[in-house]
Amino acid sequence: MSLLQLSLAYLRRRPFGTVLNVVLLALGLATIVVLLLFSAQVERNLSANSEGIDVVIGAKGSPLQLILSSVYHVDSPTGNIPVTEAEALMQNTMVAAAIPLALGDSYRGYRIVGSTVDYLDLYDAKLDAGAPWSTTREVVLGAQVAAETGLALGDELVSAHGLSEGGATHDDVPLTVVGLLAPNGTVLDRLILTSVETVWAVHSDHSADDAHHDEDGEHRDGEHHGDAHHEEDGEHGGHGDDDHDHGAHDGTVPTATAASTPPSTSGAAAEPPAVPVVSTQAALPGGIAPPTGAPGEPSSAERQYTAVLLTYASPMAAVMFPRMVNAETNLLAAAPAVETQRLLSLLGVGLDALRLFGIVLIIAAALGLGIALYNAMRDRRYDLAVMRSLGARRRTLVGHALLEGTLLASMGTVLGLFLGHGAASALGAATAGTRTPVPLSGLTFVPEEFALIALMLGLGIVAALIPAIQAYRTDIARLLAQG
Amino acid sequence: MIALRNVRFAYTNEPVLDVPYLRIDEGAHHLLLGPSGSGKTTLLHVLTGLQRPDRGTVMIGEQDLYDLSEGARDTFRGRHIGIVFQQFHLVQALTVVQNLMLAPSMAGLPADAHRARSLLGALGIAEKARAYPDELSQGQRQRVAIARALMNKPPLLIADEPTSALDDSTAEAVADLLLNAADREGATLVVATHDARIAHRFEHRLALPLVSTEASLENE
Repeated sequence: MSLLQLSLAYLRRRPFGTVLNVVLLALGLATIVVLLLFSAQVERNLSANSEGIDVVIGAKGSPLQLILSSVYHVDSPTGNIPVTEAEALMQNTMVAAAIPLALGDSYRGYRIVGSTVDYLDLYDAKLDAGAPWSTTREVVLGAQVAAETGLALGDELVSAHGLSEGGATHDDVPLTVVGLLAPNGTVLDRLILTSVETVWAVHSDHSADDAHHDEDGEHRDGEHHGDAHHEEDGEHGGHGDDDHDHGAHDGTVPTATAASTPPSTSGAAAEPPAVPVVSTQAALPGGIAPPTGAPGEPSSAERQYTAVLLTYASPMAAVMFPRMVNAETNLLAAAPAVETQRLLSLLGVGLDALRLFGIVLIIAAALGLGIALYNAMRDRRYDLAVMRSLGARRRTLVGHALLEGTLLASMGTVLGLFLGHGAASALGAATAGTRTPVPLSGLTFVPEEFALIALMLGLGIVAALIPAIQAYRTDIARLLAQG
Repeated sequence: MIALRNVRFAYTNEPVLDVPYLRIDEGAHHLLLGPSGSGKTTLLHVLTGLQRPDRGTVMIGEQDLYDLSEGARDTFRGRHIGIVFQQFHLVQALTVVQNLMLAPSMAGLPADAHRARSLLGALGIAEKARAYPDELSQGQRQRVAIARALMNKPPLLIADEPTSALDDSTAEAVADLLLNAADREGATLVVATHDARIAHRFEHRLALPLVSTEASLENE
C-alpha cells in the first residue's frame, strides 16, 4: 500500500470531484497550449516566408500591405511599379540579390506569380515532377495548388483576372503546367509560379479583352498601363491612393502617360509596337533611379513589376537603402522583419488577452484544487490520525497531501496537453480547406510547453501546501480520543 | 515488559493522569477498568506514544518511549504497538486487505500479503478481503480492525472500549476474540473499558482513576 496507491484509492473514492478538478486544470492548460501552438506557428510561418528577404520594393502605400501582398500573398498589392525604376534599384550597390514579382491574375483563387527561378531557390523549393518554367505560358504549381486543383504535368489552365476567384478568364491564353513543387511549408505551396513575361503576356492580352477594342494589336502596350489602373480599382475599390500614385508617376513619363492613361482612347494608336521583353540593363549602376524611361522609349516603362524582393549587400544598407528609396524615389521600401514585428505586436494584444484568460482559468482551477484537497484532507482526518497510529510520521502525511496535489495536477497536465494539441489539430483540420496562410498543426511541440508542465506541477504542490500543513498538524491524540 | 514511572498528565491544572508506577509483564493481559473521564484513553495514549506526559517515563521493553524523537516514536509505535480503536477507524477508501497492508506500509515494514490473508483467515473473514469497510457488518469491521492492529506482529496489543456497545453474549465473544488473537500472536493485550461485564475474563485488573500510589499497587 504505497502512498501513490493510497492517493489513487482516495481519488477513486470521489470520482466526480477528481474529474472536475482534473478537467478544470486541463481546460486552462489546453487554452494556453492552443495559443502557444498558434503563435509559435504563426511566427515560424512568418519568418520562414520572409527568410532571405531584407527589404521589399513596391508602389507607395501601406508598408504592411506591401509585405503582406508580396511576401505572404494574403493582401492586395499596393500597385505596380515600372520595371525601369525597379531595375535601377536592383542594380544598386547596396543590393546583393533581387527577385522581381509580377502579380495580377489567379487560377481558382490561387495567385499566379511571375518571377524568376531565384524565387524558388529563395525558399529552397524542390520539384516533385517536371522542371521550372523556361518560356512564357509555362507554370509550376505549388504543392497545395496541385493537390487541390488536381492539375498534373502537361495540363492546361486558364487564368482569371484579379487575385480572387470569380474574375473574367482569358480562355485564349492557356498556361501549361510544366512542374510540380514538393510541399515545403512556405507560401510557395499555395502559389502558381511562372515567368514575369508570362504574367505580362496574359495581362496584355487580357487588357485588350478588357478594353473591348482589341481590333488593333498594337495598342496592347498602350493599354496595359490603363489596365493596371483598372485592375487596381477593381482590386480595392475606392483606393484613391493608387490613382494618385500613378498620376504622379505618370507625370514623370510624359510621353507614355499621355498615350496610355485613358484606358480606351484611340490615342494609343500613336504608340510604337510592343517591346516583348524588357531590357534589364536599363538602370544606372550604383545610382539613384532616374526618372523612368526617356521620351522616345515609352514601352519599357509599361512593363511593370508588382514588387521586388531584395537582399542587402551589407548590414549598413538596412539603414541607408530604405531611407534612400522612400525619400528619393516614388517607390516604397518595406522590411519584412519590421512589418511582421508590427503585425505580431498588433496580433499580440489579442493573444495576450487570451493567454491571460488561460492563466486565469488555470489559477481558478488551482484554487479549486486547493480547496478540494483541503476538504479531502479534513474529511480523512481520522484516516490521517490512524496512519500516524500505524507508524506514519508527520512528514509521511505531508508527502501524502503533496503527492495527491501533484497527482491531480499531473492528470490535469496530461489531459490538458492532449486537449490542447487535439484542439489545435481540430482547428487545423477545420481550416485546412480554406487556404489559410497559416496552417495550424497540433502535432508539433514548443519548448514553452515544458515550462507549462513545470508550472502545472508547481501549482499542484502549491495547492496542496495548506492541506499538507493541515495534515502535518493532525492532532492524533485528540481525534482518536473523540472516537 | 511495560513500565510507567511517575507519569503525570494534565489538560489544565487538574491532573487527568497520575501514575507513580505501573508495570505490565509480557503475556499478562490487563484490563483497565474505569468510568468515562477516569483517564483511560489518556493512559492509552501515553502508553502508545500518542500523548507525551507532563513528566515521567514510559518504558516499552528496553525503550524509553518519550526519549525518542516524534518521528522515531511514530515508527516505534507502528512496529511494536497495535491499537484497536473503539470506532475501528478503518480507511473507507481502501478494501479490507488494503487496510491491513496500510499497517506495514506506514511503519516502513515490507508488505506481507500472506500474513494479511492468514490473519483474515484466522479471524474468519477471509472472504471479505476485497470488500470495502462500508460493505461489512459491525462485527466484521471489528475483526478487520483487530487484524490490522496485529499486522506488524506487535508485542503489545491495545484495545479501547471494544465491547461497550455490544450485548452480553457478543461482548463475551469479542473478549474471547481479543484474548485468543493476542495469545496466538504472542502479544500482551491491554483493554481499556468501563464495561465490567468482561472483567472476569482478565487476570489482571486495574481500576481507574489511578490517582494514588495505593491504586497502582493493587496491581502488584
